[in-house]
Amino acid sequence: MTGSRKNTTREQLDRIEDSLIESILGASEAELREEMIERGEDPDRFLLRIEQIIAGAKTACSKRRMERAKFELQEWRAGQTRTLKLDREAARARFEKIRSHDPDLASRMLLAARKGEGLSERDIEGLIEDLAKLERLDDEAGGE
Amino acid sequence: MFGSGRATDPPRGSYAGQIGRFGQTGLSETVIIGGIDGRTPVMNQTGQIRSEPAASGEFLDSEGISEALDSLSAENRLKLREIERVALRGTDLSPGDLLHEALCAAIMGDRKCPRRVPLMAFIVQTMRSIASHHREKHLRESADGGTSQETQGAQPMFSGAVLDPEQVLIESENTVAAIHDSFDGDEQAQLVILGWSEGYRGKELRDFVGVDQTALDYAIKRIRRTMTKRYPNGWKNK
Repeated sequence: MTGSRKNTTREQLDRIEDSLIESILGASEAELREEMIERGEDPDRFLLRIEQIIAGAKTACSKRRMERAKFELQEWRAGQTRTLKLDREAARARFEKIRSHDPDLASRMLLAARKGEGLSERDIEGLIEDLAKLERLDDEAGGE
Repeated sequence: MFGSGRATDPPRGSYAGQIGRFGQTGLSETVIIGGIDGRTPVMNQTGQIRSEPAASGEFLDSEGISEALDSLSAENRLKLREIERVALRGTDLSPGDLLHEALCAAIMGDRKCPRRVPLMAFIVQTMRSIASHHREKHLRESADGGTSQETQGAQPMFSGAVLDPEQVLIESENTVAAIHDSFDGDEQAQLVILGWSEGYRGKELRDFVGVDQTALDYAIKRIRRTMTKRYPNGWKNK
């Protein structure tokens, strides 16, 4: 009972609002100005106010877009850092796999190390970084 | 950007069928309800930021909306002002706030404007949709004693006393009665209001009131004048 009463009354008000709005949309500028003046209002002041609202909305949106872009930049940078770390870990695993599966490479590296000509930890890190970059470039080229 | 033969200010009367509740409007519910679409990653591998929704042929983008707003005629601007004050009913928003919210939603792409829909119709419907959400939220808060107030959006939209749903209903009924009473002695206007509340339009409404189009137009003009005078910021009920 209450539900149907509620719906009916609310629907009636909604429909009256619909029709009233349609009537405003169908009115001429002269009619609207006349009605505003009749109510003691100044149509030109309202026009100025609307201009301000439009300008205010554009400014607010520019600020929101800037904030959104800043947030997205931070997110992207955070993502890039995570990706680089993952790339390096993958490259290290790959390098170790190559070294362990290539006895010749492993023995040559061991020999060089004994002669004092071996790769330092820093050299190995550099190799891994180069490998990670190469793989990233490969991936990017493959994705295009 | 804004173009493709789409007029910014369509001739008067061309909004018919574009305004109304969801079932009557030319806009789809998705368009009206809007909501932020699933924006996908916004920065590519080269670091280019794409914070705007991609411009498509189907919807106006942010730039198109801004251009269309700039070229709105004085007549349409006055209409927006008048319509906003009708749509404000039952919210605690001040004149100007609702229009501001609607324009922001359109410019940001939170609510998308199809190119085939006149901008005026779109803004009006967006205002009404936003106002409706405000009213629904207020009612929900009232129903559970205000405990479900959402924190989203930072500040509460309503600060009024908690309303009893039955009380809201009675007030709505009183409002309908008060609207009718506003036209005491003007039988034609009362019949038009009654016809409107039943959803009658056009010929159906003319037949219901028993007048020709000229007399109907005149009665509607009287109603508009009286209503905007009596309820300068919309009626208070939901």
